[in-house]
Amino acid sequence: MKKFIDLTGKTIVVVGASSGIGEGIALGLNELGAKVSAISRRGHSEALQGREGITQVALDVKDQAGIAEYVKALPEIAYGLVYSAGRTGKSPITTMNDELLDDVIDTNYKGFLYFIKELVRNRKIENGGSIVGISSIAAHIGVEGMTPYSSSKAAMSAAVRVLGRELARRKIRINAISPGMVRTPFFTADEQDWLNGVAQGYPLGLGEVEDVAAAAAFFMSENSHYITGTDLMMTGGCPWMS
Amino acid sequence: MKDLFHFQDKNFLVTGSSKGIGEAVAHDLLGLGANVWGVSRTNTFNPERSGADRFGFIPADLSNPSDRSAISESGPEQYDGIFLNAGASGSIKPFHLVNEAELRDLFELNFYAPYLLIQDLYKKKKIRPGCSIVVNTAHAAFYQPAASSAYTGAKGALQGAFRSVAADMAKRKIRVNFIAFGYVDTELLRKNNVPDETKALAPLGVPAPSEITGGAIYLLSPASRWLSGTTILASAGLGLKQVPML
Repeated sequence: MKKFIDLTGKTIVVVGASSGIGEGIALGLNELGAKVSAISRRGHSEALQGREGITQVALDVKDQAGIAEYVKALPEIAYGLVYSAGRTGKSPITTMNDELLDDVIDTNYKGFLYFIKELVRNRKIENGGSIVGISSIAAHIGVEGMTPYSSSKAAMSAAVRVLGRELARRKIRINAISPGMVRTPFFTADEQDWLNGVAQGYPLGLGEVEDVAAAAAFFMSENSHYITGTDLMMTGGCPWMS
Repeated sequence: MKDLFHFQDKNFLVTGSSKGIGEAVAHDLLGLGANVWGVSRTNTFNPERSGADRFGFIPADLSNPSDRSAISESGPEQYDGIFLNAGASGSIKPFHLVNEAELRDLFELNFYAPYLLIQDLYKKKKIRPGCSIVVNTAHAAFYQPAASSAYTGAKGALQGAFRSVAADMAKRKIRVNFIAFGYVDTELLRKNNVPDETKALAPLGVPAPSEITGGAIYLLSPASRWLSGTTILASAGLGLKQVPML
């Protein structure tokens, strides 16, 4: 019997891998056979610790020189990159400041571009490889107080369209995934009531980390060979633009 | 995670299973261990190619109401996934040359037939809660391709209607998603003589049907259980830049 997704033999760089969606993606890709270079600022996640095929690396996505060094030192050519580093930085426009805006844009967006830049220029990503940016439904709808975050994610989705063409000459495909509300361990016990209220708005309920990981696995597999420059809306059946 | 990509012992319906993308998706599903029922007017599907005896053929002309009824009365008790794939592209021509008969014909095959088939299957409870319906729409419905008004109109109607169907079906946890292909190396494409410079707008090239089944299979699988109303543009980058602008 064939397997639909088999990532055996592929090395995939997962950025933002020490918690939440990124951690789930690192685990999921590894379960499907991939070797994972799991990057986070802390360089440590308990769940990833000691798993065969997962190497944890401490690296700040704002450290451009560090990214270049890391990529150059990669022992093998990667098949793919999944960029899931992010922070929300919730703030109404009236209290927004440079520090917050720069932090959100640097973490959510610029790090994504610099990883791609270094992987491509150093030929540390295979021809025919795959890149995924974890964007957000917030890039496509209007959620109050989320200007910095939504803009950073929209920038990522736009970059994917441009790079879809730019990287096509090396048959590298690049796509975004835009999830709605996912139940991650970020939410505290106090927030559970609020979260359950939010879930009422989703016909299929809130997403699980595993759902996003499965979508990332699809894009990291040969099954998505002819898909590039797209943004997959994961909306739990919400009637948003999709 | 691995459980999310299991197809074994699940029941799928594929319309337009005798050639092109429908045939390729049916083969892949069989290869992954699923049971597949294929619908087409004449059966040229060869299940032996996938080494599987889990294929059932339902002969039907989807534009015929009694044939549609026959589909809902045969096959398994309920389906876990349905690939609404059958359709027709007609010939490429500017809108003032489209005659009413061919316009109605394209709407019949691309819109009324799949709409009424799903309605019939739903009413007869052939669609299992949790089932995934994947609609083969067209990338053409998302931009302004010249000389394709009848086809694009019918596919646009299909896309619009099934978004609403997705909302209606959500209460039974039935999912509806879309796969939009660009140029695929099928009989249809060759017949239409699409110029090479037009095909070259897709930077990843023009795939064979067997190379682009992945998106439909992902949407049919439990791995996409949180998706409904969503479209995967499986069009090799077509539409990112339609004309040499810069």
